[in-house]
Amino acid sequence: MKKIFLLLLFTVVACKAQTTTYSLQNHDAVLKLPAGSYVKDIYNDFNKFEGTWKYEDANKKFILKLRKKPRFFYDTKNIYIDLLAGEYQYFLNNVEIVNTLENFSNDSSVHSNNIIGRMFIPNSSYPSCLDCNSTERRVELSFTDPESYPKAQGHIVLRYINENGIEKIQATIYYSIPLVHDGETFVPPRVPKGTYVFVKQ
Amino acid sequence: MKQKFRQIFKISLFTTFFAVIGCSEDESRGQNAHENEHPKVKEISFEELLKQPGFSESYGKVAKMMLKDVSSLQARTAMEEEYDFTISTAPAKVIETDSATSYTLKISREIENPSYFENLVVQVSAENKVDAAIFKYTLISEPELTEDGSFTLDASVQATPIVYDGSIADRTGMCFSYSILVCNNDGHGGIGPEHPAGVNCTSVYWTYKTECVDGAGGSSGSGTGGGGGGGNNYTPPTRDPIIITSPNFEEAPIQNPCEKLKGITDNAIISAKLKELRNLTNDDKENATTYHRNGIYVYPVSSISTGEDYAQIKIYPETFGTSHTHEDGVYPMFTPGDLSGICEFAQNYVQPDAGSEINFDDLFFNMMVVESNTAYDSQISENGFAYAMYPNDPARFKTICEVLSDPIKLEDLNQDIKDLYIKAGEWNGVNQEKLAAIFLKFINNVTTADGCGTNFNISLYRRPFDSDHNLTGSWEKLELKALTSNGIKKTPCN
Repeated sequence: MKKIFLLLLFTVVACKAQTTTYSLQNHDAVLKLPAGSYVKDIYNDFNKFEGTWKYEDANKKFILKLRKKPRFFYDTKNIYIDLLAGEYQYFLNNVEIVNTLENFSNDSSVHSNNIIGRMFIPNSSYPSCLDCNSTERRVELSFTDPESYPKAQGHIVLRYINENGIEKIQATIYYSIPLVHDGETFVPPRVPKGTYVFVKQ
Repeated sequence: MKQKFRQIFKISLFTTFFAVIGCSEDESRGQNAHENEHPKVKEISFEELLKQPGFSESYGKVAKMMLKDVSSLQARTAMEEEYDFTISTAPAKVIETDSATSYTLKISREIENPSYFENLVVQVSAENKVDAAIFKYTLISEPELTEDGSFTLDASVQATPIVYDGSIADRTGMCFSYSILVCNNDGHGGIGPEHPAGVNCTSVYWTYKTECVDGAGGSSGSGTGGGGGGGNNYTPPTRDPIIITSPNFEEAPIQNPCEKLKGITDNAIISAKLKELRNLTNDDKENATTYHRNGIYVYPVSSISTGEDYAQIKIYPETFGTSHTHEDGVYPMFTPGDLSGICEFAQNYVQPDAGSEINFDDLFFNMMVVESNTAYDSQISENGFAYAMYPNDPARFKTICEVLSDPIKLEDLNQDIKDLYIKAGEWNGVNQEKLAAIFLKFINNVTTADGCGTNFNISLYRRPFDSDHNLTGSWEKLELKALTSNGIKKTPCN
């Protein structure tokens, strides 16, 4: 019995030891990786984006909630991966326009959140960041309005800023142009494209 | 609605039958005069071949073999008429060895029979001796695509030599040897999934067969080595000349992309819109124009902004193409999403009424307008390019469209290509040929729903802008040198 236990233990340890870890920051997620590989946020860059963030101006209020999904199983690639996920709430003239926050804990799939992704982008990527230092890493995630039709390919680029101890995110939202078939009605995404500076709550 | 799309795929239906070469039971891989030679397999269009003196001369001789008293220039058409076949304009397979060059041309009959296909093989030796034969491959099972862009073929082979007396019928008493080149990319000497050698084959093997015909006209099987199978008293003294071939199953492309692209950009409305887009390459938003047809006219619709600057592109049954820019810094080259746009056009397009003067409606296109950012790009064109993406093979195009129709898969693919572009270097710091290679290698290796990879045979074309942002010069084809290569082969359109 003891031998069987030791054999099982050895097998488990051996299997565990075979999981190779790759780097999200090095864009290894695109590689054809062996099943069970782990693509990790090796510098824990996602951690500083976690939390609730708020943007507010004269007529708009915009709330972001973000969390890291560590070691999430990416079924279509058969690998594990760290993701940054979130939901949002948007007000215009004190009227709630869109609210996806109740979906915040949805872990049903890689694409189950309206904000989701894992892409680190260089300073030259859109929107180019002239005052970013060379080691700074911005994150680009997909940004979806569940009621837009056809689904506009939305993106949100996040830059973490710490200004004298005040944590902020500079977020730029942009959309690719969707194809709308004759006879279909285009329902545009409800959050306008643009750059918003959020403050951590 | 989808009539035209179906029509295109119907034409290519035969190519979807693809599959293997189960070389016949009496083949061999024995010793022979060619065993130390390393054959090179290339594909060259028939029209290009006719411009090559070596081919046109030997081809003329073959035509004259089959038709007495005809000059070589007239012989081609006359031969086709006399023997009731048509030479396909699909690319020929050209096989070069140390001792000979062979040209394998697909031929078709007036009444197509999907149970077999035929090739005319013309071979010219280093001593300028010309041999020729017609190969008929009767399919035993359905061919399938292979990962290297060739196909599997399980077929019985009937080879009929063309002899100098002009007869292809009387072969009594003669033996005839031929070699079909097979490919096994596993490289273990012929074990494994063999298939006809194509341009991407990394391990080419020779198979041999000798056929001898007895007095009754039947064919006797051959053995290995130089002998032949007996059954008659004619033993060839040597296995040479051996006609070398690799089955050519390709259908002719439906259009010549070069001509079609020229036709498109010769259109004043489209070229003006491309110029307009070229002036917007530094814009902070994506800009696009779609092209529709109304009888004989093209009418463009630029992307429409609504309210908070959201844009949309409308697709109508008469929409056949688009040209666009990407936001500066988003994607430096095409995306899988751009290809899915072509799929949308193809799937929804309705063939216009006959009599239209626009002849490029079958070429669903997506062009991307970029400026030159690197010194390398500027050497080729200081003022940027229009790129066009072109699916060369409608059947494979249909397959990749099915993959891209899954929005989750499409989103993953768009993310992956962005990863690859970023991995290649800073935005605007990577030359466009490298980006083109990244895109082509990625898109042509996309995994299909059944988990298989394949070569989708998608290529890019580009044409430079002049300093006034008008298109200038001619289109140039960009394709991968090999499916797994990062090298780009550039072929100017004439």
